[in-house]
Amino acid sequence: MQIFDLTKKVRLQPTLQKKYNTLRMILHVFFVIAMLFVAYRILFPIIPLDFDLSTPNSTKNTLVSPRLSSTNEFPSKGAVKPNDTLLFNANPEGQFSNANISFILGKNSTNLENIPLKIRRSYQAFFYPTGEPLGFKNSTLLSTIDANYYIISNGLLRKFANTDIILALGYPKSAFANVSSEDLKLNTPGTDITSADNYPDDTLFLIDNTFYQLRNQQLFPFISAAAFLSQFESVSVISKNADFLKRYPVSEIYLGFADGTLVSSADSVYILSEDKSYPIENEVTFSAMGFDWENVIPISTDELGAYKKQKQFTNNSAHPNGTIFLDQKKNSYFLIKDNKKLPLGNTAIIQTYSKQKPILADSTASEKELSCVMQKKILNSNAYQCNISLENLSGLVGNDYQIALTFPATANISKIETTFSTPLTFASLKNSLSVIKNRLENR
Amino acid sequence: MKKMKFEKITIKKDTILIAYKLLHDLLALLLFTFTATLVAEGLLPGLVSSKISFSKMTITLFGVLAAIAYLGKNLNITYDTVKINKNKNLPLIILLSFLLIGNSMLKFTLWENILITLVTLFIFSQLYEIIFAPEDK
Repeated sequence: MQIFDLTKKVRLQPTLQKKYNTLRMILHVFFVIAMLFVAYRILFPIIPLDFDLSTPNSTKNTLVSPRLSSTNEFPSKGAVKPNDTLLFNANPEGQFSNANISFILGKNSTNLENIPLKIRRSYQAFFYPTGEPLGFKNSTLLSTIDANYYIISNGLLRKFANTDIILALGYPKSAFANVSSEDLKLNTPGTDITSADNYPDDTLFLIDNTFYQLRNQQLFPFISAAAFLSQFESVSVISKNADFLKRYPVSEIYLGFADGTLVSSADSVYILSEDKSYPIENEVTFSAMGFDWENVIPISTDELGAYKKQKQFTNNSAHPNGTIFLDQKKNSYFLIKDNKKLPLGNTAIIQTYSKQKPILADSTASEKELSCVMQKKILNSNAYQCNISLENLSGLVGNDYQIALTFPATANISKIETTFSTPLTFASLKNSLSVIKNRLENR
Repeated sequence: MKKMKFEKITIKKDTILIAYKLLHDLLALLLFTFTATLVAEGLLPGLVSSKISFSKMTITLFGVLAAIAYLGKNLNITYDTVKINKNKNLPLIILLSFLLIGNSMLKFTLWENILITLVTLFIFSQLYEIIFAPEDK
């Protein structure tokens, strides 16, 4: 460190120099220890995540959506009734091997000693309850082996009364997907199409290089061909000339990309859903949420401008409506809609929704549960904690830990504190270095 | 009654001198850490700043500088103004500045990046010369 001696000209007497050298050595040793500690914290991270139930809207809360299983709502003032389960999610960035979970209770709360706490790992949205299976998507043209032809219009299965009507309306024959009668059962039957005078809602058109969808007998233009192709196949459209625009009023509202589509504009990547765009925080979040770079569609600022920009999509965000998950173990697909995961029954139905690669998930793994027993904290009589090894969850897919605790009697929770840590092992070091290497390569 | 003797508590000049030199060592270490952190942050944003607060580090740096200035004044230590091109650490400073400025413009092509970085460094060195040049008598 002689090169950094900034006081060469200030000379000391030999006795003082000796004293100075000793103190200088101590300073350098202290500095090295501090640097080693910082390196340790970088390579073996410890992430504290908390939630203060008295200030639920505070941005300092880093745990996600504490809720009661009975109401699926936030426990007002932290109050939990007997035998009710408190659920919350934690999304620490990285791989962790241990978790410490603490509950700080208010006065007159129940004793939590020896109560088991349960923890599972998957994606936040994949933990949603399963809803009713979805039928075919609107605008889908279908045919069955017994030569019946259908269109999905306003969610209903509408049958063409005869093939002459199909020919008169100009539907391309190749656009009708062959399905079994069984496949059609998920869509409620609607009235038959008996006349060629009018097109049924959800018919798709191509007029002067612009794609349109007929909704409520009004033509809605797509913002771009890419937006149309994110939802439908180009083979499904009926080509018309400009005169056709006089037949139906044209809406001023543009239709966009399929919900759950990943797009890029300038240096940012967004996930689009229900007229909203969510800028993805960084590439770490992108990877942690299971997204695939191959799915990202470059779009123009005009296309992006049609969406209302929302807050950043972070590790704590749940996948928005329209996201499709593939359960690898059961080979089944799910679409996220209004806090539910809706099964996509069969291959024919899946193809009408999924134009991008789905997010890979694993239902068997998400059901895997680890538990630890709550113990009283030594210095705080109202605080309980449990330590749990996450080794058995480490290889599982998903960035989210869902934690559940069933309270035996009435309790008032003041605060939940969690700490996710990585042990000082060679495997952890290798993992951290590999993450750093990947981040450097993806710059 | 015996009178009690009170000795005036004073910090010896020797102690101040050692403290002065140690503060310089601390400053060098802090500057080294600060530069290393800047380089690391430039390469991987959030890698270090999530563990060490930049603002705290800057405040500490200024605190140490203030302490050095205060002690230096007490000890009547003065320095001659050194021209930047006579500084022995100049190659190291240029290299680090080059890497830091260049790293912030990775989106440019290599030649654009090198050109802009060189021009920026030249402008900064000229500004330094103008600001710290000794006044003509």
